[in-house]
Amino acid sequence: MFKLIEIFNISKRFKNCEALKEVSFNVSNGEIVGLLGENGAGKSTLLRIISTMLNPTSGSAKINGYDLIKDSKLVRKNVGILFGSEVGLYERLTARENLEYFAKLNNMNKEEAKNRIDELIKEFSFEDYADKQVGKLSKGMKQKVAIARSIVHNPSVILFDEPDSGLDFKAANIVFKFMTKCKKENKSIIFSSHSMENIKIYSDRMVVLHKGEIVKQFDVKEYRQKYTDKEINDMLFNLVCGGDIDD
Amino acid sequence: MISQIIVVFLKEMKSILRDKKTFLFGLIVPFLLVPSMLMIIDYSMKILQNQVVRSINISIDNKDNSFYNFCLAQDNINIIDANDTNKAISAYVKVDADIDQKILASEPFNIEVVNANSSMDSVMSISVLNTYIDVFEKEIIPYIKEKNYASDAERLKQIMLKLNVSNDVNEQVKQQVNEQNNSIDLSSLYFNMLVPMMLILYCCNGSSSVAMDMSAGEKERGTLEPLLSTGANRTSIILGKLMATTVIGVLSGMCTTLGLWGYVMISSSNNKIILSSLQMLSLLIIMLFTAMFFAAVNLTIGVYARSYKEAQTYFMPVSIISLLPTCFTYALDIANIKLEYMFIPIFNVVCIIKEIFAGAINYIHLLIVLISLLVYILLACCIMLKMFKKEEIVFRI
Repeated sequence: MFKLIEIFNISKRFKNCEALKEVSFNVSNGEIVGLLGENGAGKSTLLRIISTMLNPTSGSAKINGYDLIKDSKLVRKNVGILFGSEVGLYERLTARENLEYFAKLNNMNKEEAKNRIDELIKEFSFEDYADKQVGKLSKGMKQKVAIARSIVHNPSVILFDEPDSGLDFKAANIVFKFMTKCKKENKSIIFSSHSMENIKIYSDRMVVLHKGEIVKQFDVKEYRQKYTDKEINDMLFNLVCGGDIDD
Repeated sequence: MISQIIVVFLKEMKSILRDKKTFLFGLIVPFLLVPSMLMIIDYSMKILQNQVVRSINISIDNKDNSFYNFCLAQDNINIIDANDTNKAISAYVKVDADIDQKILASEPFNIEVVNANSSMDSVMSISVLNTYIDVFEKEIIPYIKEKNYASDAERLKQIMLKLNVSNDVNEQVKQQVNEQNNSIDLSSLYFNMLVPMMLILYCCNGSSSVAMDMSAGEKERGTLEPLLSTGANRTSIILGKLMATTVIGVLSGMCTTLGLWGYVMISSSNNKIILSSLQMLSLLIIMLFTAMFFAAVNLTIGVYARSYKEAQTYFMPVSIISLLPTCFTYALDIANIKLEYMFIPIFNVVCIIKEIFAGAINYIHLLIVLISLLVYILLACCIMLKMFKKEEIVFRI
């Protein structure tokens, strides 16, 4: 196993609050890590730092061996990010044009981009509406295009910020099916969620954040063998609500 | 980096041109607005002119004198009682109570015309009345003196017919109204205030919606974060957006200028000026720089704002402030424009536009304005870039 994401003591301070306090954890290739925490726990901030959108106040991180600060451009080349309910697509462009735009911005050459886009269109089965303006597509269709957009440059690390938020069952299912597929392709995935159930089902490891601190991280499979669902839920509830619990 | 700027620019242009509203309000409306506005003003002036020639309502303070009777004898003068609130009065005439005695005694007398209100109708009516006063002094007074007789209205009418002054007076009135139209110098109002105002407004407004949409709008729609996570650096992204905003601002400013030019070419109105190719070229260059300046300012506002709505709130005062120089410089004589004015943003643009319209372009002024605008554009770009790189502004955290 190779550690694709290594995070060392990352802290982030905004004007009036400390959003993250010395957060450290690793993610190996082919591993899905679920970030659980209430609103304001620091999940989105952490994902934004990993994708180089925000700079950490202190600490460091390596993505596929590249330093987060020094090699930010190379880090971005290795990271794909998808923001939950906001598909973040350009409505006046077609699905294909959206993908082309992001491929070009990720420095892919014309031929490479074309092949990759055709491959993604086929993989996500949107051949029928690939040349329609995104504004005219349904939410589920947009979700597929958004996923394709986030991996158009074939990143080894994929970040999902609350991918199940605001989506109906069908659209959320598209995202989780895709996550499982990425795991098989040996990619590293971090996804944040409010939903304990989804994290329990889809993640290999769970990192629980509370007020910017990691209050627990554990192997989900191991815990599910050791404890009942109710016990895990009670423990998580206490953790995300600020309580503490012994193993 | 340049290739990524171009990628962002081309994507933004494609997106803008697919939006029919931007195309309509950013390019078509500015092209038609100035000519339409000038045509409407010309048309309403012609209507007013005909109305004034047909009839004017005046009030005279002293009755039973030769001037009162003279006015009463005119077909297109209606004498209204000053206390009659049902009828609109265009002018008040103050006449000496003993005017006839003074005329007969060859003493100086006083006929004073006062504006009833500040309307164009009142201004034109006064001009017409002055024509009548002129005729009264030149044609009627000598007759009264000769006959030693302060005539009544009916007699005066007969006298005028006898003297064949009635037709003359009417002709003079028409001529006077035409002259009045010119002397009001609407061209001064057009080209010193309205047209510069429209040109500035469209250079400013043309790019505003586009700038807000591709900055604050992107934040709101959640497209900015995926964009920032791509391999493109922030400088390339914002410069690509600035290029697209500038192109739309410039096109909008150009459409306004070309609309004006088209009107000037086809109009038969008195209120027009002839622009030479050199004047037109100077105007286009100034519009280009002004549009670039506003594109940078608008995009900076958009980058700062959390949402499209917030950007609109910031944009409103900017839009109003940008129009103020057109009011301040309205009465400014182009011969007395100080050199230091050429360094004040927008104020300098209005001054140079006035020089262009007057056909008195000072090329040193033009150069200073272009250089100072370039400095302001660079300054706005630096602020915008700095802001776009600050996470607390981009994410407003």
